[in-house]
Amino acid sequence: MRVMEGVDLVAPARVTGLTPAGERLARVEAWFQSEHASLLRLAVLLTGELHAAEDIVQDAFLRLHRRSKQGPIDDVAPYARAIVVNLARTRFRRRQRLQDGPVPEGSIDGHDGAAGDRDEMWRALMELSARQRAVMVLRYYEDLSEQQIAQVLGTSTGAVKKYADRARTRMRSLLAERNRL
Amino acid sequence: MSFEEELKGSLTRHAALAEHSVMDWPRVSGHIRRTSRARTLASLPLALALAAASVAGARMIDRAPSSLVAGGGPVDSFVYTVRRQNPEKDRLLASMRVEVDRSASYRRFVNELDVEALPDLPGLEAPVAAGDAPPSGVPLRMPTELVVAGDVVYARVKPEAAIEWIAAPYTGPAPPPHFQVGLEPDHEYGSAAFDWGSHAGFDPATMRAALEQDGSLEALGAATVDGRAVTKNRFHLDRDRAVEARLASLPDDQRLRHLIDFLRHELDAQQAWPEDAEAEVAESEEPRRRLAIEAYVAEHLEELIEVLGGRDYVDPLAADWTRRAVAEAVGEDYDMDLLVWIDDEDLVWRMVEDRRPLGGCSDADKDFCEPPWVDITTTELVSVGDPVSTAVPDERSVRYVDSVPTGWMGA
Repeated sequence: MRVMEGVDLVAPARVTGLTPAGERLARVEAWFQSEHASLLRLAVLLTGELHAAEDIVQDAFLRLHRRSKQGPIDDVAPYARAIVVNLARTRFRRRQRLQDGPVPEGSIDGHDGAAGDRDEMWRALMELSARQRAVMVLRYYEDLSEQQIAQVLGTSTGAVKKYADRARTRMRSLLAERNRL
Repeated sequence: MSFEEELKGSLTRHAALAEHSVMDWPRVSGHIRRTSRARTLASLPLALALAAASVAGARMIDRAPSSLVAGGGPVDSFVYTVRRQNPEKDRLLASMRVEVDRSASYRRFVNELDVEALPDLPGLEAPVAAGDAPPSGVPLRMPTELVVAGDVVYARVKPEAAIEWIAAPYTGPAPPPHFQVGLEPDHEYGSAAFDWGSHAGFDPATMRAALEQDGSLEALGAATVDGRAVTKNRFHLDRDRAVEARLASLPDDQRLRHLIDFLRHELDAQQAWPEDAEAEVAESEEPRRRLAIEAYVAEHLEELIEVLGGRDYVDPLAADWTRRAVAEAVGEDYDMDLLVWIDDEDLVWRMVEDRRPLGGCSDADKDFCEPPWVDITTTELVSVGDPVSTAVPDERSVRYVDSVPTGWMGA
């Protein structure tokens, strides 16, 4: 599980001589230095594209910064991950709207290059809904439990199971279909 | 290999794409600072932000004469009006409409220009008043996305880009007092044109004299009107500028008091006040209202000072952000689209690179024509009524109208 272990994510920044705003920024910097790489990987897997992932992670830290103004964040790790997942889903929906329909196969953020073309599993993953994809990534890359996934997604463990089952069924169906071709 | 194992392997391989990222803290913190600043300013009334800038001891007028005040409202559309006396035709020459689309991604904007038909507005052909001629060849920073259609320049840019562009500090010599450039949010073209026409009576010198006499807003208004009809909004904008100038001219220890006086006028005139304070002053009792004002300023002052650039220098962009109520747009949930990262790829910078040589400066205008503020100019200003091009040019074929100073307004 790639969590923000060992990182003092809640304690005030140990920086003196800073304004409150400066302290908040310093605190977010500490989070960034420790966690942005893992969040970026998550975002890459959710969007399939590096630049989009960078934008999302950047905005995630912006939101963390904004949220930190309201006081300590009890558990930053799932909170940050949830932001990334939500931003990725928002982006997915927006792309759908812009294209006036479902995002066509292989067009997920242009990540249909050589590696994507060769990797049928990846292509199948990219054809899932944003929610299903998030569940699969959190389960099989982040190694989160169903309960942890539910926390990130703000849903129930039952719903997580349902999404996971449907995602697996869909992916297997896609893979089988392609194998026949 | 099982399905799960194969999926994990695929995810691991693709996650490696993140290793190519160039993301770093300076980039992200810049993004945070920029957007947080906009949000902070968004939450504050215009007058307060201006006041904080002045109270902070900033010399906003000297460092970066502000361009224009926007009273509020979402920044969906700017109308940027450029007025210059055409020695041959004496008419309003150019107007620029900057449309802001909140939903589309920034990168799409670069390649999607809208060229609209020239509006058929009587005000567009109104003769320019005598003595209202701006200098020629005053430089303008323009984004490459501009399209000149007849007398109208169209551009579609992201709010940040438009703001950065228009709010870019003008560090050249002060233009003559009658030359003014305005940026108006949420105005229809005609409204802006009308405002612009009415604005011809604005005389900074007269205004300044009025301020020196008693500093009253009434006197200021009289100076501004100058015998012409002035819209309420216009008057308000003029007044804000004057107050700003007034604040900047005061000693540090007098600014806050003057600010409070000004805010009281603001309240009386517009009842524009944050909701939380509004409740407190609901009974309109002057002492309580005054206390509420003071408390509000005191509460936000440090933060305002910080977001505006500190005590020694007010970030003109930050100030203008407020002034244009950008934050109303930012304050909505449009982060992914609105809060784009502005970096070297941004049009703000590309527009600077796209400067063009200037020609035809007279001796009188030389100061305004000299580099580095020589950006764009052409002598082929199209008169109203000329055929309007509906073609969408590429970046290199964009035609520019006469240059005007950007980021400058009033005296």
